Amino acid sequence: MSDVLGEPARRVLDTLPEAVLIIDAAGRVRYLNDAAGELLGYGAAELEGCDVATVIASQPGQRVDVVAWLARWADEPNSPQLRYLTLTGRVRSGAQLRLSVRVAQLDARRRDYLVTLRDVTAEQREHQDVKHAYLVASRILAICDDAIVNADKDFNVTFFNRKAEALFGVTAAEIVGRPIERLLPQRYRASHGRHIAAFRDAKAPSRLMGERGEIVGLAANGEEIPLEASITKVFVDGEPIFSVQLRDIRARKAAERARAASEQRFRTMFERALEAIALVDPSGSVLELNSAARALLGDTTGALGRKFWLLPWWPRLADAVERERRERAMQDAVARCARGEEIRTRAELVDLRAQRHVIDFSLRPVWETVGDDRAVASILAEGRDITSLVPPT
Amino acid sequence: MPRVTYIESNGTEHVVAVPVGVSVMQGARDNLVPGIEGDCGGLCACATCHVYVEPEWAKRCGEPDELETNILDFAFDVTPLSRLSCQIHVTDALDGLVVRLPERQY
Repeated sequence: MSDVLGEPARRVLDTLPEAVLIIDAAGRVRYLNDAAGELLGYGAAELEGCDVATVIASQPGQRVDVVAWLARWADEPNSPQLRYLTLTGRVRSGAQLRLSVRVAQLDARRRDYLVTLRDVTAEQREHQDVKHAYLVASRILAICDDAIVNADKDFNVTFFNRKAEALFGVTAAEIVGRPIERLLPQRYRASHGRHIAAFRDAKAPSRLMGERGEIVGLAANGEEIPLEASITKVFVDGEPIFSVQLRDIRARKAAERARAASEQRFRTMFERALEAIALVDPSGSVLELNSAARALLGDTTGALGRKFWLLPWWPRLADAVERERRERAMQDAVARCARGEEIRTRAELVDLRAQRHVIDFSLRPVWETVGDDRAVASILAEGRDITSLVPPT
Repeated sequence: MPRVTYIESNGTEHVVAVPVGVSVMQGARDNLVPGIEGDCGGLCACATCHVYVEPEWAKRCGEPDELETNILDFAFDVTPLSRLSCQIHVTDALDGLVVRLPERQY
């Protein structure tokens, strides 16, 4: 069958690094060059005269007629489909290849076709892998709980995720292609360009949340939104692409304000209480003392962190045995409270001026629940002076 | 804006808004719907945006022309409801369109 070519042409084609087949109108292989033999795993004598479907075939589920398409492409050698459509090659081992083909009519009278084959299997696989990675990354960006805004070298928006749409009240379709400074209050716009330009020229590839102060965004309804921002830059073909991750901190700031207000209220109540109050950790170390408790102690240096039963307001008894017995009793009471027991008793304190006070004394556990676990987080020690209510002995 | 439902071969549904005039293929790509590749970008030249139009929508989507019919040769598991989604352009009349995606585009 190789008589289809003269010897000089055959020598040229056998020298070509690109795989070449010549087939006739019926789809029979009339010639394959050395590169085609190497690609497909066949010798010329094995394949010449065989149907081209031996080595190029449709895949299961496809209805493509290979010979008809080769003829179509031969009639239209610059068809756009040639860039995108690939045929499936089947090599001798049974493995499949994705083949990019070009076709030319070799002999109009006999309708022989010259077909060049290029193995694009790895190229297609890599292309697919990149597309899948892009899809996964894009889906993550689309649904992530921070607003993501990309901008080009001219600071025009190129990407705007769903959270950004919700945050700023504009759709991606409305903002893409527009200046990113539209997302900033007017008073920041002039300096913003300078900041971005400085970042573009800086050595650092990224600036993370926490490395810079709070910024302010402008929603479509005119509301100014406090934001934390991270920014990174990627240079593509020498041009920067900026990607900004924005976190709405309105809720966090409101929670911080509410927490501070609550702390202030409870701090006031704690400090203004007539009872002496101490907050003690489960091991007995003093965490806090209110003003009434501090007034009893006078010098509070060293009181915080000290074991509750060693505070100087307990009577300094000359009888060491009795003093130790009382300390152990208080230590035991704290330990029992740390296990959840509420303790209330009458106690005796000595103030700065060595005045004795009879105290209605209690230890109460402060519970903390984390998940299904409930534990004593601290102990509230309270003492109410009832000296005036107790008949003198 | 008309809404289009894309149902992946595994049953996952994506309901997205697609502007009038935009192709069903582009609507999928813009909304990160997996399973529609659209390698040629809408030239009707690659058969990687193959979909099955739900029967009740087939008539409103129209018939494929000769080029599309030819290119469908390269799609997999083609049925009478097969279309290349780059050749279906969204109109208000297609609000609610449902298309199913094949198991493979390559």
